[in-house]
Amino acid sequence: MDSAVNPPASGSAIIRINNLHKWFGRLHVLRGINLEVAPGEKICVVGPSGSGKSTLLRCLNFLEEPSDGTVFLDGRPMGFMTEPGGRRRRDSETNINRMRARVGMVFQSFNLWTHMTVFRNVVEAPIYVRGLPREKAHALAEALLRRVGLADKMHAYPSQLSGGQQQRVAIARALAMEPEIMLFDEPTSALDPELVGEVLEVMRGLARDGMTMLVVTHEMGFAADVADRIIFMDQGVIVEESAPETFFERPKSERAAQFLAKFSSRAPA
Amino acid sequence: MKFDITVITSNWPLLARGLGVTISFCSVSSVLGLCLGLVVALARLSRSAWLRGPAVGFVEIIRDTPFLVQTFVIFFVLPAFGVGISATTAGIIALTLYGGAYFSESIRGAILSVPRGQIDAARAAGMSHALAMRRIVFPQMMAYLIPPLTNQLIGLIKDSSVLSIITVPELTMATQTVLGTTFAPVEAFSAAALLYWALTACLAALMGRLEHHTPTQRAARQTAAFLAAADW
Repeated sequence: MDSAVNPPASGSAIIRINNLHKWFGRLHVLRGINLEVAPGEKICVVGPSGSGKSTLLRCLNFLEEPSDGTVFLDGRPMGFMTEPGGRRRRDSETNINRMRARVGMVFQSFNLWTHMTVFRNVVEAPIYVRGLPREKAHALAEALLRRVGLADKMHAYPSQLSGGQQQRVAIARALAMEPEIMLFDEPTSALDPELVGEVLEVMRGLARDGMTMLVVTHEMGFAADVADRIIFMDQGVIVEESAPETFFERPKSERAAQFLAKFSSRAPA
Repeated sequence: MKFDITVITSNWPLLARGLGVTISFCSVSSVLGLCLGLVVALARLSRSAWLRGPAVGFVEIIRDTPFLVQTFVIFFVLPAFGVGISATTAGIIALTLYGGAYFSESIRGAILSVPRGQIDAARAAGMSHALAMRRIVFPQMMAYLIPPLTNQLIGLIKDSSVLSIITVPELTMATQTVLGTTFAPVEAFSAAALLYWALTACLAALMGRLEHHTPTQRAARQTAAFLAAADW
């Protein structure tokens, strides 16, 4: 099934990343990333810590401003506009916010708004960002919370929930914006082992429904099952881009093989 | 010596009026000062150096000079440049600038205490900077803001006694008037101290109630109740 490895034709890509660089001061975190993602595609990004995976994800919705290179969302450059002279400058905040609203994000540390109930967390952005009427937002929130199995926790505060429950609410909150793409930044890394499964189960459901997903993860079993493509990053570059069978059975690069060896006890059968 | 309570009772209307003036001056200046403090705090957190510079300068100037000197500068120096100014206006301006500088630092600290991830989540959901501030940061910062703000409001009330120097008829000035007719400093200043204490104690109690009702505290209470009732 190596066809999945071939990047989709430019015309059909929902995300196109073009020579992306990111510096933090003198630290060169992303060193020229190129990637295309087709609508509905599930991509898992794996690699050692410090390889730039999270930064890559945060550049995709402009939580980090790329130092160089461009992310195209549906063919439109994200966060920058080119002046007639050819110089690029930051796009207006309104345009950036509008594009961000099309990309959902789930964080390692959940980041549920602590002063709001679960229900308020989910209806907040639909009401105040999308401008949905209250009744519609409420119905949407109820449906989404039911979907992640937490309808009974609607009026609890985040601090009353387990980590796994919080992360499922965070997924519902992101879905409430009806995004075209979902970004997951190590969604299970902060969870107790016995709570990982419930979150991955919600994510599998989302994948089955055809959502475009980019998942930074250390859950190799999940990556092997769900991903159409595995991106292996190290030191700010994409070292290997393979179908999961290829990546886990016979990785093309030495570094990926070394990385996978550390997971041998958890690798998929 | 004998403590003559009639010094206080017979001059009660004068003292009460002084207390009233102190309350009005402090209320007006606190509200104006909080608005000023919010603007200065946001300017200081801004990405633009053109906003940050003046904000830092303002805080430094106010914080590093005595309030008494600031009051004199506003009351005596402005008229020298042809700006006529009443004691009332000068007093309000002086207290507002003074309060605003200190409030701004507390507000800045409270904003910075809101965890970064809370704002990331707001921005990722498409919220503008202003909306994220209003819906996420401000409600959460209240819990961090109220304790230092209580200190500073109490400080403002006590320091407002300085305004007696420029003839604002507030509590300290009223006390001195009583002193001028009765020559009874022990009674007069005891009464003043007691009234200042009563005022600041009421304020502290009020701020305590306010803290109780912040969204953060409400969430914490419900969580505590939930944990207490949980069936382990």
